[in-house]
Amino acid sequence: MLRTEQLDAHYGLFQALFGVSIEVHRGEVVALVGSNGAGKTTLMRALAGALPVAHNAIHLDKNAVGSNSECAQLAQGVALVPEGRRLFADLSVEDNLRVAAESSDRAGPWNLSTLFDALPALADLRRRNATALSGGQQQLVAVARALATNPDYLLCDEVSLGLSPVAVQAVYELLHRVSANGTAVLLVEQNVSRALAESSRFYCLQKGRVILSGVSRHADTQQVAHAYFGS
Amino acid sequence: MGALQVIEMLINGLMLGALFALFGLGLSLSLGVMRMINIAHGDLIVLAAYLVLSTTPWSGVGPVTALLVSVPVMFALGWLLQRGLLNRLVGRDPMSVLLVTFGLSIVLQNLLQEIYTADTQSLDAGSLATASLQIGDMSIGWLPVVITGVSVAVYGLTHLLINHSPLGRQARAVATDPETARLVGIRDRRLFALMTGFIFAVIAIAGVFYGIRTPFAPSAGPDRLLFAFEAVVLGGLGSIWGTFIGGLLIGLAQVVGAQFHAGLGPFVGHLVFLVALLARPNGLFAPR
Repeated sequence: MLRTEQLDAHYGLFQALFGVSIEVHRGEVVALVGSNGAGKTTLMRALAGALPVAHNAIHLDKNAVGSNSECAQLAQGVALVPEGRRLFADLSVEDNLRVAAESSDRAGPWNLSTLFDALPALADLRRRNATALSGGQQQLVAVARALATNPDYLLCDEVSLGLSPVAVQAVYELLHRVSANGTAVLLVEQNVSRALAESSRFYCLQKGRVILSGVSRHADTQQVAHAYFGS
Repeated sequence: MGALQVIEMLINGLMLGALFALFGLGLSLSLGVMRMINIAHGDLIVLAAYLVLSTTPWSGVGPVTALLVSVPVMFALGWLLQRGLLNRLVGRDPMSVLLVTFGLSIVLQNLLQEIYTADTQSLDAGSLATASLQIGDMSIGWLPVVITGVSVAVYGLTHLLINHSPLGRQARAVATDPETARLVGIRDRRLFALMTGFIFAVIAIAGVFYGIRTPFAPSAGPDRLLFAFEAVVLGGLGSIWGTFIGGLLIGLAQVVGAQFHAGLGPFVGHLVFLVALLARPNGLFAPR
């Protein structure tokens, strides 16, 4: 279980998160919703070790991991698909995946050949430059690159932003396959109804605080929308 | 001047350029991958020449064979410098690395002067330095031919390392996006230490051929840095083969310039650099 406990996060003097407590269990899909600036990306970055927070604010199973670096979090099985995909522009599709696979020591189901088997559309483009692909294909590469490190917890920041409905469908199909393998998925999604439809539980952030959470199936869309936009 | 002399001059220019290219390679790599400039680069080339100067008398081997010692020693020095000092500064603000390596440059120059005095020294490579190759009526020195071969080989090796090895993939990923590189598990500080080790190994090779070809003194570093810089900037930041071509062009310009007046060589080199930069401010082969 990946869990935050009264997590505060700061950018210099600016405080972005106030006492955020969430938890994500293996095999679960959890959605994180909230308007721009609510602190979703900050929370994802803190979980991935990209933003230093108090050591005891983040726990992985029984261990405090809040002061871990990105590499240490990856080694523990927490991988982030960053907002905007951030593929390595100078590398081919295959090298984007390979560089991640080579930098991780974790064993697991994913390697280059299982990734390309799972995503045959990418297999044909493996020699292409990563940024020569369509947005949807790039997003699949970005998810696959994180999967290449064989995570137990996959954090996906804005995976559907700017994609066509068909491309969004492909990305979510991949995420559900990942989740079926026992990997937890924590996703940030702008589209609230989509977020609730794709997840089993959700948290709604507003101005750096969790103001609503629950089981996605039972969520009152109106109530979530109200929390989303604030009053 | 006959056609033969012109060809001979061009060949000599390119071969001097191959040495400049070797000077520039390390700088090109550290700028391209780590985004830092080592101001002591030239002094390290001179240090490498002195290192061989001190190794040869007691070992009894020639300077080229002494590379077996100086390459690993320089690699270790580079690794230590990056690990112990530069890794604390790199990625914060560019000024701090500049200032620290500027200080290192001054320390190195004074240290070399203290140990070896300000006298000019040279590395004795025996027959390699004097033998020449006769092609028809043309006579080409063996030494520049060897230097050119070594330079091409080192560039080829670097190309393989960067484009076709796990370390090179990591280096290219860090070069394009350091933040995301950490997110996929690349330990950038460890990579940088190995990288600087490699750069120092190249400096060891550049230093020994520089010392065989030209008499050197503790104060010779800044000029080597300047030529290296010109090669890198002329070729375009981030392009390894661009640095190679940049080095060749600077060497060519210097040799052609020296034809008009013996003291004019470096000046014409700088002039060509300036004009090329005005025409193409990003260098000749900058990616994107």
